Amino acid sequence: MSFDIVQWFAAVIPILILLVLMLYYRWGGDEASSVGLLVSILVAYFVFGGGYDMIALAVAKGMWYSLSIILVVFPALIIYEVSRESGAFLVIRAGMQQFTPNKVLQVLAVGWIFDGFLQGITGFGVPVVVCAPLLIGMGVKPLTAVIITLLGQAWGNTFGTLGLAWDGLVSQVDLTNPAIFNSTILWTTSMLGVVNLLVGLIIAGLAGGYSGIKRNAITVILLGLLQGFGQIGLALVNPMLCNFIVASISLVLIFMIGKLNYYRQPVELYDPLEESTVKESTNSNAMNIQQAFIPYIFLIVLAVVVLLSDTIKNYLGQWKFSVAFAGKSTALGFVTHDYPTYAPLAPLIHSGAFLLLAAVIGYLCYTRWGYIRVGGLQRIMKNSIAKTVPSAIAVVGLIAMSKVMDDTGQTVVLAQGVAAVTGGFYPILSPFIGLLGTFMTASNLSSNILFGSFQQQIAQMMQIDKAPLLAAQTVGGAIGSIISPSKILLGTTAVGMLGHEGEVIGKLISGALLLCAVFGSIIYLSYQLRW
Amino acid sequence: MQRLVTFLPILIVFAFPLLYFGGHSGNAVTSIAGIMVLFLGMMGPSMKRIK
Repeated sequence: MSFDIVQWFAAVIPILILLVLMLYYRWGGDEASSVGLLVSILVAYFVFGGGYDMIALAVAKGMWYSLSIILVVFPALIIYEVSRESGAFLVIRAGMQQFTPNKVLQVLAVGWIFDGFLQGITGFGVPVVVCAPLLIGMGVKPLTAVIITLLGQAWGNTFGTLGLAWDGLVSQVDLTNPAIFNSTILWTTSMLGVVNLLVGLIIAGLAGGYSGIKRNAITVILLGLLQGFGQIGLALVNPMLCNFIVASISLVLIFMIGKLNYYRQPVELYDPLEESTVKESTNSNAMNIQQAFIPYIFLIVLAVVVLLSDTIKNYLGQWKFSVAFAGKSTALGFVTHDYPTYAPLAPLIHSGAFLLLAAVIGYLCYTRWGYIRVGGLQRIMKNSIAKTVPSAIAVVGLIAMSKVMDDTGQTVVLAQGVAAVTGGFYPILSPFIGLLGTFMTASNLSSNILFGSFQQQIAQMMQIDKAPLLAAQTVGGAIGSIISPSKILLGTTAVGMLGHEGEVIGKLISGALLLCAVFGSIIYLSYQLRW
Repeated sequence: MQRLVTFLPILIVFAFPLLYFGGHSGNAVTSIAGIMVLFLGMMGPSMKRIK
């Protein structure tokens, strides 16, 4: 596969600048994204021959695509502000003591199992924006809470959201041969099972230090194996529901585990949040734990009922908004397709709608029960809007940057360069391509659509089995969701530490890259040893 | 200045029709105007840093 070295270096510049600004200079995503977008536009125009019209349409696509993410952020922040204003977080913190006085298990229940459960049904960053504030309410530091929720949602990125990213991969490649289909599923689920197991142990460590891992290793390994093997078996039968089913079973199991005598001894967090910073609101008189969880209970019920019932889903999903985009081509001949309906937005079955309805129900209940004081609505809306705006700016900038790079051929040149340089060693780097796609777009689905057929082409060129490469694509994409700036933004916004995205990436990037390298090496060995 | 920073992001909304129609009609002036309005709208956080 040939590629132009100048084009490759030019294409890598926007990503490098973004990373340097965020990791080295500690710029927030809202500031760094503008510069990244500007550089990607300049590269598109001067190196890749994209015309003004093509670049303008690419930016417009990015803005349209960003809307569906912003529609998750805003209502999720309203839920957070409603819970904070009413004092529900204090009650949740106290109520979790009834579940188990072991705070490490509490963190595992919310940051690993509940986080994975939400990824299984909703996705689109909902687990991060919902669980991170809950973890803070339980005494976890904000930065640690964001890291835990990013880790916890990763393994569900392929078969979560009712198998959306998997469907995206299948739509781009030829998996009509049942043997190749099953082999791809087995490779994918096996690697995701390992990711999940590792993540469980890391979260136990983040919550409880070394003793947290030691004391909870058996629980984490048993639940991890159940989830891993459960997903392997169920994915062969029903890829759409496999993740949701095992996540639901795990959710029930961890609450049963909390009742065991072993977990009835109080265990504190390794590095807890100071008490004074938790007690923001004192209006928690007489609220019980069920009342405190009202918005979240409604969120789960709404999402499960609507998304699992085809009748309701199809009925509500018939109202869609979309915009048409014309195809364009660069001076170098890179062509974008015509999109009669680009990224249709179905507002009534969108995750944002469930979050908004849950927030409204929560607000009405808390107001009726007297937990929200006079002027509460104004404070809730003012705080929610103030936090959403900078986050929205960053999301628009990052997604527009990724669309400019996609549409003008920069992303494809990046991937082709990796394949051309590595030659026969390409399988080692194959997960990094998936990771690159999710890093740029914040979506495993988009990464699979972007690079699924590319991985298939490489397999055909190298005359090797495509199943491991396709699995590497989507597993790399799942790992990429941990370090995707757009997804990290959701977490930092939710916990009120916008601008610290570089810090989060800095703590996670080496682990994510190492894991991709390990999986890539295993895949390479599998080809060499003809597994 | 504070008020300007607060209201600048509204410009992002106005950038979309300029980009969309400028891109479809192949009009360079409208396309560039859309990109500039977008960047103006996104400048709020950077202006806070400069300030």
